[in-house]
Amino acid sequence: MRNSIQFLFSLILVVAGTLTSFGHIGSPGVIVQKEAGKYRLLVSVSPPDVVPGTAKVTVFVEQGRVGTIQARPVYFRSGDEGAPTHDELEPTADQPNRFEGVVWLMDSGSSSIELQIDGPDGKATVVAPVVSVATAQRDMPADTGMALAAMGILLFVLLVTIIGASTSDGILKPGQPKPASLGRKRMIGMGIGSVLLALMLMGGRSWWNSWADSYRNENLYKPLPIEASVKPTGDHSLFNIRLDTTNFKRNRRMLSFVVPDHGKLMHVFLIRTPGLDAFAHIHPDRRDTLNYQSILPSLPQGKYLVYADMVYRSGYAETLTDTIEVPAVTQAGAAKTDPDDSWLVTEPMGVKSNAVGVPHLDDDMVACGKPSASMKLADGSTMLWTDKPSQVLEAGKLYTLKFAIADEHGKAASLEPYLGMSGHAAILRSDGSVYIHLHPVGTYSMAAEESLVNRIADTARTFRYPNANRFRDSIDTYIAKLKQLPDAERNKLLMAGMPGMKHADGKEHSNMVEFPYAFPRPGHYRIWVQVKRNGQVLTGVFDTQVKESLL
Amino acid sequence: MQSALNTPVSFAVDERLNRAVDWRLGIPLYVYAVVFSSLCIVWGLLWDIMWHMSIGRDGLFAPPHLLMYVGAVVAGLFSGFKILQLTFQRSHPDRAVSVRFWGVFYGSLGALYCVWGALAMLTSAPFDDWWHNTYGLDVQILTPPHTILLLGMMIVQFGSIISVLALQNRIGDRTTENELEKKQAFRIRLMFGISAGLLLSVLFVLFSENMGEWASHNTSYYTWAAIAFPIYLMAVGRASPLRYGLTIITAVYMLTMLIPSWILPLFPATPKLGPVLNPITHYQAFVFPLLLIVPGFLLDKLMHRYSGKLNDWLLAGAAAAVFMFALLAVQWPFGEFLHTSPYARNWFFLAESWSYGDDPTWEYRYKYHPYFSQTVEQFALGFGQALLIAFVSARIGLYWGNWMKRVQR
Repeated sequence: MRNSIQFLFSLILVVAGTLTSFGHIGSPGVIVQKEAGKYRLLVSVSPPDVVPGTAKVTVFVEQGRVGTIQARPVYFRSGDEGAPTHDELEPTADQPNRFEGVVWLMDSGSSSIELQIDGPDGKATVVAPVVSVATAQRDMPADTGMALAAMGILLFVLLVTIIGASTSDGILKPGQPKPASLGRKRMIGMGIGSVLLALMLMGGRSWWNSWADSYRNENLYKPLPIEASVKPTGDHSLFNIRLDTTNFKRNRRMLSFVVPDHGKLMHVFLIRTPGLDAFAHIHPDRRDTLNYQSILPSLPQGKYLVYADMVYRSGYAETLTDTIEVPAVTQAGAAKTDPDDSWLVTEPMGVKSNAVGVPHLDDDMVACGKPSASMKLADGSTMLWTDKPSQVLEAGKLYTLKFAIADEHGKAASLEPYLGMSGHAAILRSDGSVYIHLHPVGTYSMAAEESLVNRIADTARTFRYPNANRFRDSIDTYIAKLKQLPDAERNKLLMAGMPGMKHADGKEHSNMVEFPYAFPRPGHYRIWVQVKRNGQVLTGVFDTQVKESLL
Repeated sequence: MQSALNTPVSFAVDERLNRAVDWRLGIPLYVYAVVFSSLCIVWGLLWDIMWHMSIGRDGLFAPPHLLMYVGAVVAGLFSGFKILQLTFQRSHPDRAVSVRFWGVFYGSLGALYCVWGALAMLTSAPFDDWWHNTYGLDVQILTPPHTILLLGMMIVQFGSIISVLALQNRIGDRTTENELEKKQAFRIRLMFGISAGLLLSVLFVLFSENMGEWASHNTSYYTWAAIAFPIYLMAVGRASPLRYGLTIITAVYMLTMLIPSWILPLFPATPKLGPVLNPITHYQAFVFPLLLIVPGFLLDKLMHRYSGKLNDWLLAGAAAAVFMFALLAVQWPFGEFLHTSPYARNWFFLAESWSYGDDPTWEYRYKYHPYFSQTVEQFALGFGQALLIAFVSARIGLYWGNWMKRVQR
């Protein structure tokens, strides 16, 4: 039953194919997998790529009897009190468990879509955090341009004609013979009319240009630039991210109001390019408002893509990117800035091999009648990609990516929470243009969700920020305390902060971890799946090909 | 009878006059249709503004848009039909009062302006759609596609003015004992006043973001007024043969602005877009219009006394001074009343109206913002400049009005 339901969920979602995209690079949509009351829902939000605009919301009801689903946008700034009335999502004709609708997002900034579910199984609320920003730059399609140009020419010629007639025939009394000067008057009228119209058009053109400029410079989302660097010191190298505040006026962020996500202020993924063979997931410490620093793991020399995830107090989440050159390792050290830092070096992407223990473009075995892939992990256990719907996946289709871990003897291995949840995944397109940090609950930041859920509970019409220094200090103190706690206590604390968090199948210590995701574009992708077992972070690597949707 | 009446045109009018004694008073249905279009356009526009202040979300076929489309469609179809009729019916009596263009077509000037306006409104739709997809759904009145729409609307309205004007000029200042002809002449002149008042309303809307009561103690307010109004008022004032033409035109403007703002707030409306900073339950009114009737009346008086006696340069100077000082005398205290007085915060004066997206606790909601405060010297200098602008504006208006007086077709 589960499988057939899950198959239903893997249905087409239209994911806007914009290349420049917010937050998780190239993955504009927000996917939320949630249990609320007796319901289990999979929510997909395609935010608008220009703001103001409309977000497309699709809800798959996986479990529970739903009567109605209503949606409304709630902004962090104005909260629940400032949200408009709900709009009902309509069930689709062919699939009664799929509801669809649009929600209007009028302002830029941290927002959310609040869903209210009602039915025989009671009422429930789900909040999907959405960052509302303009990411698209469009040119006019040729046919629209041609049609408008044709109308423009017609209007120009017609108006010049009318002005000419207004200064000549139009003022001629009926029955009066046409004076010789009439033609000249018409020509003068048309001449003056043409000049005035041309001037108006020129004015209009420069107005339009200035509009386009201000859209590009002010409205269009630009990630905060960062400068990543590596500096060898003593027995290890230091990795540093400096937030670049050049042009800060245009690209302002509330840098003192960064909040931890899974207990970390910043999640950084370092991936060696072009093979995507070396991978690290580290959590730099905040040195000051602008500098984040970490001991660099012992990674092989090369050029690395840097993806740094940050969340602000408002729930505004973004991924900052840069590249770095990692020098040849001088000393192999196992020192970590953060106990949860982890790294792995495997085969480069595209190496076709039939051996277990290395990643493959597609798969090497079949489990339960469906294609699967497996990989030997560092502690001898095996990670399997199970229930992969097909060898090659389709772009824009929502999949539940499921991974199982078997111990050395092939038996289900129980997992421990890693950063408060059953697993993490990072997905990267071979060229680095699509990146996402995924969780079993979806593609969004849990810190953002927490911010927005709390904001919705707050009745203040406008959010007032506390003192910046005090806020930053309190966050630093909290992080330091968290780091010193034993693993179990830390996880308990982190999970308490993520209400509604459950393992994929509802059981604790499962051997399964699942991630809902829709690949936005065709291409070759690598997936790193991270779980924790016996106190050790284990990373499995899988490659897959994604093709253009057939529909 | 006057010479004009010996022409085929007036013959046509006369003939209709004799056979049609219904509500139309022998005035072609076409003329009523385009004036009606003009009203649909301005009320559609005002409704749309109030919709955006209260509900926020609209679509291509939102009711206020439909009202504007009705205006465009009625004016466009009636005018287009008229042009085709004149072009294809060789013996059409109105051919004698039409203009020929592009070698084959015949049409009245009014019909041509209306068709142009309707086409411009039509063109703005796909442009606006593309604009929304590219720069976001707009929340401003003025964007390039909206400007084309507004320009189209104003040209349709101008077409309706010209349609009435051609009739009005053709009957000239005829004196007749025929009751029907008297009634007809008055009806035509009144319709000119109405159509001119309707366009004045849209002209005001165009500038209203710069002429809010919050700026009524600042010279920017008077400078915008100097740019917008003398040119238009002098033109239509000169073209109107009514004794109190401008008084009627400005009264029509005030009523056109007020009627929807008095009626719509009686209906419930809740915001469909966020953020909602002002949780309203009913439509929010637009604004109380400027008391243009006062300068309008004084300009009528000025023209009674000096029109024809002063040359247009001197008349423009006098009109600029009368208009600007009357506006200052009226709007300085009245703007202050609307902006600051609790007695203005009611259904009649509309001062409580506040868009759902604006913070109702804003410090300067009922208080002048320091941004608009000026010293006496600054104000005097700015007002002096506004007077000069008003003079240029009025002089161009008189040129325009002289042309309007001569429109025949």
